[in-house]
Amino acid sequence: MTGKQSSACASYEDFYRSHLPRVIAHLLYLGFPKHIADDATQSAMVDVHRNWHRIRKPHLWARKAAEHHAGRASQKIRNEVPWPDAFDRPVAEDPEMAYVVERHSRLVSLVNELPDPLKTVFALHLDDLGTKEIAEYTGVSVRVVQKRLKQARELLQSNFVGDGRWEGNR
Amino acid sequence: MNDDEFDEMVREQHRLFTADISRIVERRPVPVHVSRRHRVTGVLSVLLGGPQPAWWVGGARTGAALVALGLAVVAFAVLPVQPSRLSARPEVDAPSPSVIHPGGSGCPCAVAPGPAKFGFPVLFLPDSAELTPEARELIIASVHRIGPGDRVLVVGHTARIGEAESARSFSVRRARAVADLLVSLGVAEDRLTVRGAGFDQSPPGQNAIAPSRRVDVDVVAPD
Repeated sequence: MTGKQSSACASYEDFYRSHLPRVIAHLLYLGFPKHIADDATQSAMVDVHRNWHRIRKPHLWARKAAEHHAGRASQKIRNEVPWPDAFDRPVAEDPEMAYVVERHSRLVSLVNELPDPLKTVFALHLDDLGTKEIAEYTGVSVRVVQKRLKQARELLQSNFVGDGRWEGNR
Repeated sequence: MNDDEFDEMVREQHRLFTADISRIVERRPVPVHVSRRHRVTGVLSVLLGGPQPAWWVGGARTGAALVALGLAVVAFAVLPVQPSRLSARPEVDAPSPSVIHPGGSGCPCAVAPGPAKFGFPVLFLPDSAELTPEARELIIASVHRIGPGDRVLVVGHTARIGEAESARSFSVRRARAVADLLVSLGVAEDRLTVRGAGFDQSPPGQNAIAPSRRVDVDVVAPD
């Protein structure tokens, strides 16, 4: 392995370690089930590694790829005729992941309950992405992003801060 | 509460959430994409004891393909398929030899199993042949339904990932984990048939991955 390849691998590993939880959280905010979010993020990370030298903004690219994988997996579940009976039964989820999602269920559900356009924008905003990057990601103008963020904040504040339910999640 | 305060509060929650996820996933190996060429190079370097130049790998691959094609042509010409051989196939395939039972005469494996009295799948976590607490509870809750004369068929499965041979041996490990617990719970070992199906019976597709990580336990009533 050359020095260039080695440094690329190291930076990919850093990227993976820092962004994997954030991409999983992003998919959970968008309403995907835990096992799909986990599997789709892993697939997206393999895609990122394959295209590492071509991608300019891997943090956006990984989220887009993960959304794509998760969307396809969900679509398949909707379309597929159940195979053997065993496949209708609950899947084996990572119990630790289930515990963590349960622990933060208030945050996940409140973002998830937003209307779709607001949900994506606010999920990205939570992850410290700027309005310009969110606009690039969602394909709308910065002004629309700002407007959606404002609407999302109003909805969240009225629904969850107003009745003091935030305190229960800490 | 103004927008900045609200953002800071929600982001703090988000940071706690991602930190918790991070603690779970930090033990996982970093997944990488391995191209077909690198897979061939890797196998050759293991076999030949060192890295091989790219041109050699390409040549070896072409050579191997030509040899395989030649063998296929020879096999097709020399060994025509005889219809009588196909018709002579038994209608019911005998079960393959198990780990516990060698499949000899008098062994329960030598007899094709009848219809299952009942059965249940035991699900596993990825890359794990260890029983989860839920799976353990399921087996403990179901074991009282197994009669003293019943035969129990334990077949392990894996997700459709990796090499077929390693998946088969891994599925046997899963099946053995279930069988060991059944034996510890009082099921006679000579009533158990433990097999590993690998991913032969696992359907393709991403949705089927998690349900394929399982062991099927089928209980067959005595004849």
